[in-house]
Formats: sequence, C-alpha cells, structure tokens
Amino acid sequence: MQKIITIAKKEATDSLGDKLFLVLLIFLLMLVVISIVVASMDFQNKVVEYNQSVKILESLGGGADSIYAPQFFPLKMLRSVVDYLEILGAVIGIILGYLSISKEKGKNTLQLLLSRPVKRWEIGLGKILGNSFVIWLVLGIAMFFIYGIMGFLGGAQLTGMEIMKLILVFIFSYLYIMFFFGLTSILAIKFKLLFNALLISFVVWLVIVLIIPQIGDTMDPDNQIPGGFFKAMNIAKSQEKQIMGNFKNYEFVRNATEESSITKHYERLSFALLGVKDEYNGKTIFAILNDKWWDGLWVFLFFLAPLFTELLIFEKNNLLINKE
Amino acid sequence: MKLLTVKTIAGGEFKTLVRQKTFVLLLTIFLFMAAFSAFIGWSTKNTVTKIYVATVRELISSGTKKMPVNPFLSAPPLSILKNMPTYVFLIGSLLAIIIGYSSFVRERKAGVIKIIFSRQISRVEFLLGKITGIFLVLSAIVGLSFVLSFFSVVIISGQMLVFSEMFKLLMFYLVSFLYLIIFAMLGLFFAIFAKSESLALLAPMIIWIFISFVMPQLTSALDPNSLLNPTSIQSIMPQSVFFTSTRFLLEPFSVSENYKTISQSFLQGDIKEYPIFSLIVYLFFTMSIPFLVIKKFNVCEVEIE
Amino acid sequence: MSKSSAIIDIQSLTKKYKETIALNNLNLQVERGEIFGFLGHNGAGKTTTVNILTTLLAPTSGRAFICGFNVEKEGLEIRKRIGYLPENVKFYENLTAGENLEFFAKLSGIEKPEEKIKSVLNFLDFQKFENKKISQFSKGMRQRIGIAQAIIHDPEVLFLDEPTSGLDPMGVRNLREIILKLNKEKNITIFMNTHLLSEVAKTCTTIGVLGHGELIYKDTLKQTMERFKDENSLETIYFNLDTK
Repeated sequence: MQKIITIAKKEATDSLGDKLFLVLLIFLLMLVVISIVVASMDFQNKVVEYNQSVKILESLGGGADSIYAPQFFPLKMLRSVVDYLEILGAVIGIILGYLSISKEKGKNTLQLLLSRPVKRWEIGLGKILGNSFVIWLVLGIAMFFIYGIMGFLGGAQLTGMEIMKLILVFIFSYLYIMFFFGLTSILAIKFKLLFNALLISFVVWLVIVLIIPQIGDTMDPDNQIPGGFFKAMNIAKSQEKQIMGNFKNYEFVRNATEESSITKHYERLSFALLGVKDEYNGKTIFAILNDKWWDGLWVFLFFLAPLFTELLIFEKNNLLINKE
Repeated sequence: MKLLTVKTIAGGEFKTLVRQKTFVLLLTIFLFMAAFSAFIGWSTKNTVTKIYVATVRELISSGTKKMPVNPFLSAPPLSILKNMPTYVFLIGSLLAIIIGYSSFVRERKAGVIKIIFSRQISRVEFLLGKITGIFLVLSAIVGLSFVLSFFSVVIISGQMLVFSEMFKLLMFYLVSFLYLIIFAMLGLFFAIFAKSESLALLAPMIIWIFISFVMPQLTSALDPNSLLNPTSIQSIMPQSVFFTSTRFLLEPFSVSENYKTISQSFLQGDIKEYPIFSLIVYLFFTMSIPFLVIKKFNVCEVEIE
Repeated sequence: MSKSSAIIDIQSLTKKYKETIALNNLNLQVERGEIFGFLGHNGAGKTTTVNILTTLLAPTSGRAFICGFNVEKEGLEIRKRIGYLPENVKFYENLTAGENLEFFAKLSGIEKPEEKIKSVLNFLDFQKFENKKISQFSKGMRQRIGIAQAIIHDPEVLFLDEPTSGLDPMGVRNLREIILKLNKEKNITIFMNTHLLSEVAKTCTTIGVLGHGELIYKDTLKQTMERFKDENSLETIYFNLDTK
C-alpha cells in the first residue's frame, strides 16, 4: 500500500506541475465562470421581461394570471458547465493519461520502476489513483467556483437536495474524465510511437465528444430551423409526436448514433440531474436515477473498461516488448 | 535566394508526405468527411420533407387553411453540405496542425536537420521549401474534396450546378484551404519552437481549443453544442452590455466564428457576410512566426524523444 | 528451486520475438562475488538476457534463477534483491537527484530513505549534487545517480546494461572504480553488458561471449588470458571467438 501511495503522490505532483495541464485548467474555469454569468443574465432578462409584461397587462386593466413567472432553478444554469466538462474535461483526461505514460517511456524509467519489488498492477493503480486525485482537485475547484459565483450573483442558496444532485453530477464527471485518461494511457503503453497514441486519442475524442453528438443534433428534424421546425409549423406537441411516430427508423438511427458515445450518456444523465429539461425539475435523485439508470450504467462501464485493461496490461509481462 | 533549393525541399516534402501513410489517412478522412456531410444533408432533407408532407396532411385534416412553407424549398442546392464547415473547423484544422507539425519534427527526430543545415542552404530557403510542400499537400487534399463534393451535390440534386453555385462551392473550399493553412503553420511553428515533441503537439492543440471554443464563447455566449450546429448560428444571442462589448471587440478576431459565417454565406446563402479580416490577419501572423523562430533554432539541441 | 549454488543460474533460456530468435537455449551460471562481463555484438541478445533476469520480460521457454528464485514465478522476491541500471536512463528531469532517489528507494520498501540517500551519495562521493535538478546533469553525473538508485536498497546482484556508453574517459574510469569498490566493499555480484573490451580486461573476473543468442564462450578472465596467451590482447581473442 505504501508503494502505491508513493507512486500516486509522485503522479499527482507531476501533473499539478505541468504547464499544459494548468493552462487547460484555467481555460476550463474561465468557461465555467462565463457560462454561469451568461445563464444568470439570461434569467434576469427573463425576469425583467416578465415584470414588464405584468405591468402592461395591469395597465390594460387585466390580471397577470395568464402569464407564468419565470421559475428560478439555479442548477439549470450549469448546463454549459456540463458541456465544457464534456469537451475540456475529456482533453484534461487525455493529457493526464498521456503524461502518466510518456514520462516513463522516453526516459527508460519504466525499467527502473518494474525492476523494483513492486507488483506490476500496483504501479498501474498508483498512477490511476494519483491522477484521480488531480481530477477530483479540478472538479473541486470548479465546484468551489460554481458555488461562489451562484452565491455572489443571484444570492442563490442551494438546497440540500440540489447540492446532492450537484455532487452526483461531479461523480459522473469524474467517471467520464477517467475514461479518457484510461484510454490514452493504454494507447500510450501499446503504441511504439507516443505521438501516434496521442493522435489516436484526439481522433477518438473528436468522434465521441464532438462529431457523434453533432450528427445526432443536426439530424434532429426539429433543429432544421432556428427556433425549431415544429414551432415554425405551428404544431402542438401531441401532433408532433404522432407525426414523428411514422419516422421510427430515422429516429432509431439517430438515437443509435447518439447511444454509441459515452459523452451523450453522460450528458443525458447530468442534464436530468440538473433539471435542464423542466420535466426533471423538483424530482428526487432517486426518481431521476430510476429514469436514467441506463445512461449511468453506460458511463460506469465506459469508465471501468479502460482502467481495468490498463491494470491488466501492467500486470502482463509484455510492457517492454516494443523495445527490440 | 535560390529557387532551385526551395524547389528541392518542397518536392522532397511533398514526396515524403504523400508517401507516408499519414497522407493517405488524412486524404481518406477528408474525402469521407465530404461524402458524409453530403449524405447527412441528403438524408435529413429527405426525411424532413416527408415530415413536412405529413405535417401538412395533419394540418389539413384539422382544418387549418394557412399552410406554412417547406423550409427546404427555398434552400440552395449547396445547403446539403452544411455540415462540411463544421468538419473542416473541427477535424480539418486538427489534421492541418499534424501536417505542419510532422513536416519539421520528422527532420528533428531523424537528426537530419544537422545535415541539412550544414549544406549550402539558408534557413529561410529551407522553410520556404517546407511551406510550399505543405501548401501543395493541403491543396491536393482540398482539391479532391471539392471534386467529390461537387459530384455528390450534382448527383443528389439531379441537375448540373449553375455557374454561380459552382463558384460559391469553389470559394468555400478556397476559404477552407486558407483556414487550414493557419493551423498547419501553427503546427510548423511549434515543431520548430517547442523543446519537446509532446509539447510541440500539445501547444498548438491548446491554441486550437482556444480558437475553437473559448473565443466563440466569449463573443457569442452560445453553448458549445449550438456552436457546432450549422443551423443555430443564426439563432438569437443573449443581449447584455458585457457581451455586446466583447462581441464588438473580439468578433473581428474570432477566426473560427468568422470562418463559419463565411462558409454558411457561401453554402446556405442566408447570412451574406464575409468577415475576411481575421482570416487575413491570422494567415499573415501564422505564416510569419516560423520565419522568426527558424533563425534562433538551436541545431545542437535537436535531440528530442 | 535452482540446483546449483550460482547466484545467477540460467537454464536453456529461449526468447523469441515475432520473427526473430533473440536468445537460443542459453545456459549460464554466475557465482556469488563475481564481476561478470557479458560480451557480444549489437543485437546479440545481451539486453534481452538482462531484461529477463530482472523480471521485466518473460522468456519464451527455459528457466532462470536469481538467488535461487525463479524469474517467472517469484519476480517480487528477485526484485527485492537486485539493482538495475538500464542503458540511457534519463530519470525524472523535473525532480532533483535526491527526490529521484527518494522515489525509487520508497518503491524498494525503504520507508525513511533520507539516511540511506546520504550514505549512498557519500559512498559515490556525490553529496553536493543531492539538491540539483537532474535536467542540469551531464551524462556521467546521471550515470552516478543511476548507480545510486540501483544500490540504495543494498542489492545482492547488480545488473548494468552498457554502463560506459556515452561516457568520457574520466567518466569511464570513475565508473570502473565504483564497480570495483561495490564488489569489494559491499560484496555485490555484478552482471555487466558491454562491448568495451578494455574495460572488461580491467574490471571483470569472468567473461562470457554471446553470439546470435547463444553462449559461445565462458571462462574466468585469468584462464582466458592464459589459454590464449599467444594472442596479444583480449580484442584479438574476442574477434576470433565471435567470427567462428
């Protein structure tokens, strides 16, 4: 155990001292702050609009019962935070995974590590734990920023339930980021040229994080016109469902495309927990998880697979086979 | 300056890049992108038209008299390619970084750089040759993608493109070419400048992230998913003093946003803005920085892993 | 368990990579207290042998024992008892010499390595560089840190892979002195891959020659010099052996 901690500690200090990592962290925090500011301004605009409408209605002599006051759900403002964790969080995972292997490979220090009385999987586990700590630190700082800004901007106090939901989102964010960490580590171990490993990781990142969700998004018939196709057609929700019922195959392909990406699963679950879609607002964590357990399971499996493989690769005897 | 040496380097560069597996891979990816965007455009258009017909039927049966128009009816034929700018902006630029990067790192790694620089060639000539080679490769890739796009549009729409549409498609690929050059030059710059191989790749990546995601967030305040969806570019952005001012100050320099706007103007024909300023500034900047660092490049410190 | 008393006991060891045979039925014993010089041309299989003996690589067939432990089954026990300095190690450049040593010492199970680091650096006459970053070190200095990490846990056997490559004459001489001192004062058995014949003649007690994955010669240095006394140097002996 002592040895695992030694490796984990070194791993964490190495990563925290890396400039590229720090730049990415700053980017991420910057985007988190901006996106929350945007969301809160957006909400304040809605409040102003509402108050104006109420005034107009009252001046006309009518009551304000016919329009709804915009409801404030502070967690909803975190929608873009999830978006940025999807994109930049994954890149952070890639960079950490890459660094954790590249620092040993080019310098032949892997031989030194392996010739110590340490079990091979302990080295792998040490690396995973060290970087998990770093990722939790990143998420912790992000959480701190979020909490601070929300209090500062709107004086929004999060309820216990909301804090629990937020923590759950962050746990899944950790699982999500670690998927990319594990994937890149494996590739970096397996590939003769580190550069190719990094390249493939970024290609996978592009495809999973950006392209697949983008395809799903652009194929959505409702997204063909700014503001929504069905809205432009003046169609009610019930009618829309009925019409779309005739296009099951198309919708199936679209959905299957999205299902193949861990990002989409992570996004669906997080959005539900944050109540980005109003139907989930006010629901308990249990009810949401009951509805979205499928997505949670996928994120968890995506998380486990590469890390488990990494430990297995470390344990097997072929780490150096590329050398000759 | 000897034109012959520049030509030798450029020719060598073109040859090695084309012979490498990387080139075949990049070309395949590009052609796939072009074909794929045409396919998505076609299948979406097809389905939405059917949905439109179904909707109209529904509206008639419920007694509505005023029928909305099919949104695809007025769309220009090139609009089925509307995903292509997103792919160039995401995948293409990343690939361009790699082309620029590998063109110099290869020499550094093989240690050939010492041999080259000990010949009768100035460093500027060497760099000019490299850049020419990169231009050739990128234009080959973009050229072939243009041909493929052209034929897919003709086949899908079932009619020959009129001259003005063909010109627009050509202009779109020209702008894309310039956009790619920017990133290839960034890759080249860091390959010369950075001390280690991984930094040479990761540094331009970080800039790529900044240009592609951070800047647009500052200027448009759109959430990142909308940034990638070609239709939502025109959607309404939140109004506030902060963002009106950041937009005013930064938008002329947000080259990724400007590239998308120009592309949409050519392909979808509904924005009609050509903010070419940032593209020129970035081109000028990224093409000159390799020349600034090549002179200071320390040949004795080339050993990189 | 190994039958012989040898501290390194290799029995019909074979290693195949996809198409090439790196080691072909290698048999070799090294006794406790020896300084064994393992000679052979580039690609003869020397590094592969060391990688198998240090449990980094699994053999395709055959067995090998270090201190009586099987390299395939008792890796952990072996790794407690050996030190290894691979060729061209660059270490963690963001750490100081002391921090590098601390890290490796802890992985060898030394819980409070400070004293150990002091005494090892003292032994190598290198105390003043403890707090310098590795990135500022010359090749010769790195090699000393390499030795330091390999002996910090008092191993019984020390494996050195081409330890003199890239060193200047002064560095080579310093390293030779260290090797002899380690063998004499700490009684460490040393297994050294090399192709520097002059060094072998000055340091080793026994030599073995590997050619295309097979052991073609092994004897003590003394016997070798006597047997081939007509040849005027070890170099001629080596060339005669290797071209056979």
